[in-house]
Amino acid sequence: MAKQIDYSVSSGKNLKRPSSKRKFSMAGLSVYLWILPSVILVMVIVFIPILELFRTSFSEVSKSGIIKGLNGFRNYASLFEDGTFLMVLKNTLIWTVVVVGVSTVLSMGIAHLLNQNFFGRSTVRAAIIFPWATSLIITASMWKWIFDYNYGTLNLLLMNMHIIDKNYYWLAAPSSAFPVVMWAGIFDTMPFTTIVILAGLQAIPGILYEAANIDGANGFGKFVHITLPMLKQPLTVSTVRNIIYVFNSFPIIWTITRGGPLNQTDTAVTYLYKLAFQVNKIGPSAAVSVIIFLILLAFSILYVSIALRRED
Amino acid sequence: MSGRRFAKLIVVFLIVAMLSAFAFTGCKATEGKTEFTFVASQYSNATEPYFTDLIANFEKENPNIKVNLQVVGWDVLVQKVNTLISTKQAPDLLNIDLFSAYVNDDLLLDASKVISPELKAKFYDSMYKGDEINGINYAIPLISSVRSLYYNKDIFAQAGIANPPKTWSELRQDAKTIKEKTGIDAFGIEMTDFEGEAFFSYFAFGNGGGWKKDGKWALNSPENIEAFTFMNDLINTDKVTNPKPTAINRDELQKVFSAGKLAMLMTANFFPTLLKTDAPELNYGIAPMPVNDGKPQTALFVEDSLMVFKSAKNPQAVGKFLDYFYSDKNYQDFVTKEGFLPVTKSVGDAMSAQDPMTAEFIKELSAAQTYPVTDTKYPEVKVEAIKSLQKVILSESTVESALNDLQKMAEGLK
Repeated sequence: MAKQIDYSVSSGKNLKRPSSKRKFSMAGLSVYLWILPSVILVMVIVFIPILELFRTSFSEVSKSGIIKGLNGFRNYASLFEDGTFLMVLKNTLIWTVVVVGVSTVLSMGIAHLLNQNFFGRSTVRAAIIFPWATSLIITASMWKWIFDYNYGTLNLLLMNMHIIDKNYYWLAAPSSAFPVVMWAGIFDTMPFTTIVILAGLQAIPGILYEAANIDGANGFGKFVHITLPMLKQPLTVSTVRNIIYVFNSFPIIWTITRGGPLNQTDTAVTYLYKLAFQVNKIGPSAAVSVIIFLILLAFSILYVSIALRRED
Repeated sequence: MSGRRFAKLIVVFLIVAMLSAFAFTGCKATEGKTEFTFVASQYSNATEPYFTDLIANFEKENPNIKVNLQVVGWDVLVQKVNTLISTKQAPDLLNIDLFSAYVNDDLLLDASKVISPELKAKFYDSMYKGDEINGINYAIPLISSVRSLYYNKDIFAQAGIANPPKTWSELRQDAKTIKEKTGIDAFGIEMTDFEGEAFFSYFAFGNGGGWKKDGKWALNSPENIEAFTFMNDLINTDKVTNPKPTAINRDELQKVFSAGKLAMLMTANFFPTLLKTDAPELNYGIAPMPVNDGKPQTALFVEDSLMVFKSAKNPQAVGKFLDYFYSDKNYQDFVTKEGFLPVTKSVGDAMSAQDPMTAEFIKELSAAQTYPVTDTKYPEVKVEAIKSLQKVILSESTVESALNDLQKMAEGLK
């Protein structure tokens, strides 16, 4: 039923450009000239560093950063000499799945709330953007302070409510520190996701729900059979995009725990930073970067293919 | 679009391209002056104004020399310098703490040949020797700091203790008394990658142990094992320290001490400068680092150094600048503004005469030891040492097996 109505944003594919049938001309060439600066810029600041990264990952690099020559896969092999890198990959997986999963579920609820008619709706909608618009370091420092053992407001609140009888050390053990950083991550991922879902919700025509009401569908039935299928596109796009951003997120973990204690809250990105700048192992650090790059490249291809499919 | 407009477009494009090409080359006007670059680390907000003034005065006296100053924060300093080196833009003069990696890559000049013999004679011997690698001074000391015991006199009075502890048994007893009578955490310990190596050193040095012995790693020496067993007992058996040393850094602990919520903390001699603004009312005292009963008094000192790179085109100009910087008036001004201890004898004597606290610190320096900074493997060993002690504190490993693993790891490093 839903498939019969095309609600997608006009993609412009029906607007045939007259120039596309014209033969090659000077004017056509000027189009390429106009985009040439961007192409050069992209080449210089994206492709060259990536090539350099691959070269570094296969090179022996001295501690002061001088490349001494190629050394094959030795940098990659050195990552697996102890269990740290595998643990870090596992952490990265948990971090990404939990942050993206929980924030998507929560955003779904918030988006539904914001889709209702209530007084001050536009103010609340604007407010939801704030955590996203604020610098990650500020948000992360704020959470670090809230969860602080000595001065944290969370401990104060819980003490005053007689839920705990002495301050709890949230950031000490990995079993509580990792959930704390993940919560900060969720808090920062929610706004974007909420907005994408809200936009999706608003694109669902009310007529579908009216028809469902006539057929006697209950709230849950409407959600499963109308809302979810209609939200498939925005959900896929936001999820893939969130996976890429959350996987790559550095400031939250670095600000709150610096990956400690014992690398137990490190993800791939904080680990590679430590390799490069705490112990000056540039080669192995580049190898971690390449591994991250390849994983994220796979997700990006997925993202682009989904985005392009929507246009068809 | 007409051909003419297109031609105009091409012209505009070419102009833009040429302009951006100029921007990329970043050409510098030299005007026939002798130039050098100085990358200085930022100790405080006073660092940059100090060096800007100093350089302005120096350039007035030496109109032929131009100093290009860059002040860089410690959190990005290593990154920045490594990037400069790998892109062949190494600074001419650099101020940093660890430099053995640069020596390994043969990037540094023999500093004793850059500075004048008069300047060389000014340094404290122990400080000057501390920068030696294979008998050569690739660097000269810039500043030092010494770590002492800071204690809250009010909390001590509340617990009925008259004097700060001198030995470990006194430390343990006092800490227990304080915790029992006041409920306040008695002794601050941090074991994070912020500065866990300092606490490694306090305990190891305090028991006659340390990082190395006779030039070889001695991380699992019997002295160290005893020292960290003592540390672990304070944390996990007596429970007289801050509860989770693996989750708080030194700066945060200093704030807890400033707030009167910690009775004792080992930290650096720049702490009083911070206390003056953060907690002017705090009634605190300073004492030498407590050591194990019967062990010789010692302390931890930390030294930062200046070095000249081989790529420097004008080492003579750098030498001239160093002579100017280390002249008593300029150097004392620097050390005082930053709250550090001097590394030249003349300024050390002058400052000792002016201030009894500084005199005490300089006295403590004479028996102090430092990290094995001249070893290229030190940064990696440091990180692993902190992790080993974290394992001990989190009860994931015994002291002995953690230190044995650490020793094995350090010996296996290439």
